Amino acid sequence: MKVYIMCIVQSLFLIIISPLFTGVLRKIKAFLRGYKGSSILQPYYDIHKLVGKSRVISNNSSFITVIGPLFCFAGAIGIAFFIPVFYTNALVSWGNILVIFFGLALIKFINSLIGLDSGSTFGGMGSSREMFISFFGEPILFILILFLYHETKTFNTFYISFLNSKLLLYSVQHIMAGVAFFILILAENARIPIDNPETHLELTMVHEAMVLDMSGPDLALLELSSSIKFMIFLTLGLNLFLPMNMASTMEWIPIFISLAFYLLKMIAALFAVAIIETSMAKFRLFRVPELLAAAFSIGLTALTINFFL
Amino acid sequence: MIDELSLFFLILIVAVIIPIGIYSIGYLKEYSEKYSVRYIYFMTFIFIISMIGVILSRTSIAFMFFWELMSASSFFLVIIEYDKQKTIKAGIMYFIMTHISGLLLMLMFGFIFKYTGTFVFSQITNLHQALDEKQMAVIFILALAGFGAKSGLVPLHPWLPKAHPAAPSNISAMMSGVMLKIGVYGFLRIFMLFPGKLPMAVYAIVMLTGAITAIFSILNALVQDDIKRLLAYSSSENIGIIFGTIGLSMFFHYLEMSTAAGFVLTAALLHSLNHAVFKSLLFLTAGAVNSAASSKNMHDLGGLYSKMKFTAICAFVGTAAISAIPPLNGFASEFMILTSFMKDIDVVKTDYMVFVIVTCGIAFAAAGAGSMYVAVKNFGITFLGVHRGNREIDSSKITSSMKLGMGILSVYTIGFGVAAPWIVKILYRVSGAVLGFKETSTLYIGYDITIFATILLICVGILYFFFRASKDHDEIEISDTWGCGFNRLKPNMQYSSGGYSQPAMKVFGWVTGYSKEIRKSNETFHISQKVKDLIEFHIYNRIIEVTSIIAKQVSIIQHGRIQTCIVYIFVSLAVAMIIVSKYL
Amino acid sequence: MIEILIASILMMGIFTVGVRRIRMIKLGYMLQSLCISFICIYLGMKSGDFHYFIVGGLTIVAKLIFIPYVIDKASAKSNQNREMQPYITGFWSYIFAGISIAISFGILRNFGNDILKAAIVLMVIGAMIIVGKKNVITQMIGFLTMENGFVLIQLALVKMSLLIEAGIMLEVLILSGIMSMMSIYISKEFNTQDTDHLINLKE
Repeated sequence: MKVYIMCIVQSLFLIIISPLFTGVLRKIKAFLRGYKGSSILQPYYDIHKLVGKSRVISNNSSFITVIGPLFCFAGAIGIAFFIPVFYTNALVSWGNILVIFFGLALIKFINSLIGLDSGSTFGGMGSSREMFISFFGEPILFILILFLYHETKTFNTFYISFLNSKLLLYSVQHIMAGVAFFILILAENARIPIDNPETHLELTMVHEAMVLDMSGPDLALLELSSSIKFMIFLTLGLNLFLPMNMASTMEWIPIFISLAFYLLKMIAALFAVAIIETSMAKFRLFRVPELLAAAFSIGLTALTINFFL
Repeated sequence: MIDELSLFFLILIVAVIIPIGIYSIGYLKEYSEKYSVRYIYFMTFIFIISMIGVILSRTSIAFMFFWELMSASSFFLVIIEYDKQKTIKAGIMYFIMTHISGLLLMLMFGFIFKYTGTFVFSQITNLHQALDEKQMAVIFILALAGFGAKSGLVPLHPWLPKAHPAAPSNISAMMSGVMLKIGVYGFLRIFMLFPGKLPMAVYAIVMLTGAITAIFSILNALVQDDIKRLLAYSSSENIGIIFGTIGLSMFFHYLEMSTAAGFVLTAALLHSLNHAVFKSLLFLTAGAVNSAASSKNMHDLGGLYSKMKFTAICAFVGTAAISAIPPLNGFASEFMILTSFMKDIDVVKTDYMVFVIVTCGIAFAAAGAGSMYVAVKNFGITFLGVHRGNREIDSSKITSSMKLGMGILSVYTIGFGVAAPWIVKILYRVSGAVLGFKETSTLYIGYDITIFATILLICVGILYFFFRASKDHDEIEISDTWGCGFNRLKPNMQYSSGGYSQPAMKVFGWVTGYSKEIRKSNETFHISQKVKDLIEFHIYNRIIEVTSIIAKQVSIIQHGRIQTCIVYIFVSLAVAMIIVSKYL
Repeated sequence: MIEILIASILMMGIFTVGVRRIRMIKLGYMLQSLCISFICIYLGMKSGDFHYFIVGGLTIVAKLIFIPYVIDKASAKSNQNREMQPYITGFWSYIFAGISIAISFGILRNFGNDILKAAIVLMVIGAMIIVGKKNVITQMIGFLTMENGFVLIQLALVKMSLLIEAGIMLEVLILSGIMSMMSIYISKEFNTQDTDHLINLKE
């Protein structure tokens, strides 16, 4: 029973803290670029401001605009309950890894419909591009899940991170799969070099284009859900491929150590993302498949090393 | 004498046919002005009866009789709009393909008779050990080709995208949702009759055919502008997935891993059921769109939600299901299929089979993402945004019976998704019967989907209460779509169906015969995109050319006198009898 | 430690397959070579064998200083800094590289240690680069990548002879010199570095 409460608590922790991580990411980027940057609590203020505003909706919009943001946010919250954050256990029976990734596809699906909903050109563009990128992302995901399954013989994320947290030495294939997953994270969450999350109204944008006609609380929900989605991806990446020092017992000291390690690892991962975002330019859309194909190739190599050698 | 496999497909047929039947009552009113509705009802009745007959028949003679009856009646249903040249052409294509299928199956049953000496299924099962590997391989390859032609496996698929747009939508729903599954049933039946071991290459062929079908069809579906052509290609993709999964199950059966084989076969059966439900639903909504907006070309559609709200919501449910969004039913089967291509592959000791299985898994994952692309395009371009064409939309043509039909199928779609863990348990018994193991242990796929559905529902409820229902958020301002400072947005500035899939065609255009054509007329440039089915273009058209050349040569002996014709018939009959008596 | 080095060799190798800019391919090659020299030094420290240090030092001198210099010289002569129209585009060369690596691992099942796996991957990738690309300099880097694979095979085998290693190193230096001279002459003659134009030399 305590285990289940712990799982729920850690998921709530992830949901609440994910805007903070977004703020940290922005702060790191500001630091790397050499300006002061906004406070790390800024995402919370933004959400508070947006929730207080009234909604403006397009006269072409349909029920997608009405229910879409709700489903997006609910999907993000629902998936947050399926992943280990800083505590894991071999006993938890939910948390199938395929359910997690398909559940995250719910957010993508609703987002791309919202893009088409208001009948603007930009929305359609973003929607089309999102689907295009996810078309190449899915095979990589399959290979990586197959790799994890082959490594640990289970589909349960809690169990995978439990087993991998006992690893003392990461093998070559494990590192390679981790790198492929990192590229996938960048692709699925519309980060540079696939998409630029900071600009509005450039012809290069993907995610921002889809939510262009949203306002007020709707926008708040969508932004929140995409930030939760990003943090879910990063947390999964850390806990599946790099879960050292994760707590698996219900004692206070390991849990605090694990929490501290989680925060450290998360900040390191955000630092990596920030370095990529400040040092690289966005790819042309038709170069994106090349990057994802490279990730595919790396994943396939990792899988075959694990399987045959 | 009805076994689990027949019972499952019988339930599938009845469960899907009833809503389609309800829908047809309203839908066929439109046809009553020009065509005889009674004829349509009669043919539909024969069609349904023959499908049930195929499933219930226990001898190969009866099977073939009902099979041919099914083919013929569905042909007459395809060409209901007989006064259109295009329909007749599509009908003839369908007729020829379905007879190729029938011919191959007759050949297969002939071989079975030759090897076992009986037509009765129960006796065949007892005698199956008398066959050696090569004979089994012959039977299975013929079965794959014969049932695959009926179900739409590449390269025998070109009738699907022709016949479906030509037929009325309720008929396409029946054909795509149910009749294609009869092909799956037939293949499973042959598998059940001959549970022995085949050469390993046969399993690889079945799986790879499925994978190629899935990828080829989904890429072709992506570029279609016609809703029903798009859905037809998507059906072909799903059939590819089902056949590939059955191939994997057969392979595990070969390795004598009955639990794994049972899991995989359950995935295939669940996908058959789910595909029957959501694809019928999507065809029915396409029919509603066609009758209200009198077009099924996506270039003339858009913004239909404001006129036909119920249809749009039903189409949304179907779209989410086909995109494998949890907690709908498409997700349940996609989940099981991907799981089955990952699980247990380390037991496989043959290297090339491992490659085949992983390739299939990757192909099906890509096809899953592609079907999301296709479905979002289909729904978004048709129902969202602003209307592109200038035709009036007459939503009164969508009668309440049509709404009821679509509503029932939407309820199925949601219900089969949320209740998937329990349905899987029932289907596991069917696969146990097919694979011949009596294992009462329940198959556990986890209740993640139900948990997720519950959390989703609770969260949406709470959020709805906070953000929509409460009074403070009543002040909604309705304004024009933000054109980024440009105030004269026109409907044709939206993303079109061609534009939506263009990025993918930049990479995979060569699979779909994609080409752009730029014309200049009076200072205006016209850009048009063209696609063609490469298999149809390169293989079928060649065959047709060769056939017509041969036919010209043969026509020399045709005099038009009835006596000569009778002589020819007599001679050919005599030759056939001599061949049969000598060699068989 | 060695795992990270090998993983970065593999990933650098895979990245170089589809990259178009010559500078990036050169960078990938240099990082590969750096990782190889690190492996040499690591093995040397572990085993105490002095040969490893020599090989590592030679690798650094030859592949991180001399060859990049030669490449820079050769590409400075022409104005093309990227692969314009490769036979196999980036996307497909990544996919083919992945598939061919998978197949070669499947054939060489249960074969050797991590270093040997990396060696196989580098050989496959070198072959892919040579087949898929047109530019002289890119093809040269393809050859050099294959050579890196040879070095790794050498490292993986227990007993190694310094003479052979030094011979290979020398050969590489001569190869890169010849290739760069060739590229300079091709670009003088045809005003491009495209090896397709060598067809014109046929009588």
